[in-house]
Amino acid sequence: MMTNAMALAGVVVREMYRRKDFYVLLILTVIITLAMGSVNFFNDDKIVRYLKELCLLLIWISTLVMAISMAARQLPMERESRTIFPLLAKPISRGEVILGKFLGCWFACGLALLVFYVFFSVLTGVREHDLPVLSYFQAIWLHWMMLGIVTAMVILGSLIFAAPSSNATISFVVSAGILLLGRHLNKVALQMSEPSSTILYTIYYNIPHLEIFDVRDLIVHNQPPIEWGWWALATPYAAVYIAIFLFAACWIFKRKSLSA
Amino acid sequence: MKRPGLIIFALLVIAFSLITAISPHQLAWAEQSGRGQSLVARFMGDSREMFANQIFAKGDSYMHSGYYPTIFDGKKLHAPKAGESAEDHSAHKHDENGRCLADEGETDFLGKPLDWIDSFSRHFFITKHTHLENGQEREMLPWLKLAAEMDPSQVDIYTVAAFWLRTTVGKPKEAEEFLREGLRNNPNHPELLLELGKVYYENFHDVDRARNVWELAKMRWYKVEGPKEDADTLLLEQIVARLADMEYKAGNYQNALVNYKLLRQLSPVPQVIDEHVRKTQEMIDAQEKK
Amino acid sequence: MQHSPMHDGQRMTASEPILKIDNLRVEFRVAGLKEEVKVAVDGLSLTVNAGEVFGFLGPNGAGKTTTMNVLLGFVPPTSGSAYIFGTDVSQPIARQRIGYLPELTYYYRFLTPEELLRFYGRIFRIPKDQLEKRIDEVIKLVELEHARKRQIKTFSKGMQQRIGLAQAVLNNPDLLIFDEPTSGLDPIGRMKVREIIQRLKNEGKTVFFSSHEMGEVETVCDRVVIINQGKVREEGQVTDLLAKHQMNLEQIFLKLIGYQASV
Repeated sequence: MMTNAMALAGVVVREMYRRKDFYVLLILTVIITLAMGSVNFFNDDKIVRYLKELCLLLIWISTLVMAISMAARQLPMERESRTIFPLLAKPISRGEVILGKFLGCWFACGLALLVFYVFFSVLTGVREHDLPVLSYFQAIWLHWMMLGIVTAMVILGSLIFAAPSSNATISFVVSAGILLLGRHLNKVALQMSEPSSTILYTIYYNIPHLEIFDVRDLIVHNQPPIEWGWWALATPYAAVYIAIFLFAACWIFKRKSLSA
Repeated sequence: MKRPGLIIFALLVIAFSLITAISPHQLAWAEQSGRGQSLVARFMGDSREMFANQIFAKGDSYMHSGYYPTIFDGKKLHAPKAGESAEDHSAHKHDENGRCLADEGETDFLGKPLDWIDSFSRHFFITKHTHLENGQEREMLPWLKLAAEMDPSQVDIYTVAAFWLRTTVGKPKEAEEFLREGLRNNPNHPELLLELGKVYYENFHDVDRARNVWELAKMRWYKVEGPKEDADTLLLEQIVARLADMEYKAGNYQNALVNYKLLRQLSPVPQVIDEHVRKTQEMIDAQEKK
Repeated sequence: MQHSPMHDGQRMTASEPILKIDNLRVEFRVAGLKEEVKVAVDGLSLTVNAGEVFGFLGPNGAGKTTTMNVLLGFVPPTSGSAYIFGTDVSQPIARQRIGYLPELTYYYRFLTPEELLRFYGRIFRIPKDQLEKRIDEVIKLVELEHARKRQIKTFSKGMQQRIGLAQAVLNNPDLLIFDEPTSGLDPIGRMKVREIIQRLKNEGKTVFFSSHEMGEVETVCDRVVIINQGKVREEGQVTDLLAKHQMNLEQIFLKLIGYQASV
């Protein structure tokens, strides 16, 4: 099963580094960060946290955009260019196709993340003369896990929504909404009356809490690394949601009639 | 030239003619509606005040190393307020044992975790209240600068930034420049003048300039704040206290006495000021005896 | 344990057909104000024997592509069954020994022909050293040596179809399913595809293909089936049909589908 999925993942990764999207996002991030870094605030060249915050924000936006747009176009593009037919005419199951597409997008995001964080590390290393490797490793890992959940969710979305653009837009709004508000839904639910309160609690307990994986503040404010036990626990938390989304995607895809 | 080329040329001529006709009216309208000022003002309109408040709060959250309440958290930690002085902001200090004084009574805006998700997620964001120190306060300055760009009418932004610049960051020259920028946007504002006087007196040790600035601040207070029903007397109290102490230390006891007497009327604890008045009077008497 | 395709193949006896469709029925629900059911294939049965070139003919909408979709597992049958090498077509392993060339497909734009074939080769579990050799062979077969390292996005329609042929024969399949292999190609392209089918036939491969080109079918096919409205109208050896109807294949085709010339 993994051989087929990995073969397909290889195609997706190749697509990522041969398309211009990644380079455009990387160059934009670098240019904006360097431009902001060159701004003179009170003749003080030791100021660095705002730059870290800005750079991390750009990295988060770029990788989220990349993950969503890449995952959203995978299956629709296979249909549109008709490559799904010669592919499925080979000894590969639909589940393997879903898994391969997911792994490809996720690995591609991982590669992109590495490049982005290398730039971030160089930037902070030069300005702060410090490189908290463990904290950065934790941050990259959690970021990657978060992108895994988003990628799986978008792949499922590509089987539900007709157009990749609507899937991408909805996924982006949902992801950004969870990142910004997910943590606070329980507090809002507390102040609401029934049945709104129960509805909101149901949403709160069922959504993947992407904000858990966002540890930018810890990095910006030079906080010590997260306790390793809790950090490790975030991985199975992400894996559960990835599995839910992928199983749902496989279930729908297996039942989908494909007409050549 | 072929027909499509001629059509494009004709359309360009029409567009050019129209823009030359419309442009003067558009400029006049922009000036009339007050939109001819800055790029930020033009793009953001009145929303810039809201953004400025948010960015100012961002600067404040940096002061607390990212430990900061959101709009969903019931209690406020220390959101910056209009009219709050630079000293109020600098109140986030540590005692001689390095313990954070501000922690007392304002630590737990988070409260107890409401559920397992809340409890789990707290391992992934800042839940400890610490403050920037030893010059690290510089980290909040870009946000203050940006907030001032957004809304130059917010005086607090200038005074807070100037306080840190002239104290822990050690950049009084930059503090003076920033306050002057504030004064250009808010001419003769007494709070800005008070802070500028502090730069002259405490950092440059220039008594004459500090006196001039504080006297102007006092005068402006009476002109601007005095007639108001809810006049900011605390500000006047601070200006007068500064002036009185400076004059006392400079040996200008007559001037000091005038200001201490005024301060006595303003202070909520006049008996403390009485002691200063008595001391100053003694100095004047001693001078006269000589 | 993985189900071995070779094992299935070996289990078949020489007399057993390579492809067998038995009483196949495919219905589609047509979405609209009132949901309707459209019968695309209605009780279709046919068999294809080893080494045959089998023409699958019919007008547009006759049910040819739907039948192929069932054979390839893209569409589940409403009733009836279909087997390839004795294995139910719903099993992915049934496709281990087949090669499929769909109607014009735009292969992965960012890959080169080499990379595309390597990717498909991995799915067929072809050992690495053998795969490289096989890639050389099929690229030579479809005459794309000059473009083997160029990204597919730069390819013309004819080149796309040839890379399609290359992927279809990569695993050295025993059964080839071609859906309108020459559609959209210029006369030279058609000639090349025809030559390749002929070569495959000479190698003893079984070819099952649909086409509108009656001349082409007459030239390369051993046996044909003509379907219309999802039902078989005629089936037999090409030579037998020509002799029986005393007209060429195109005339037979038009007669069977009930076409009346207006001029």
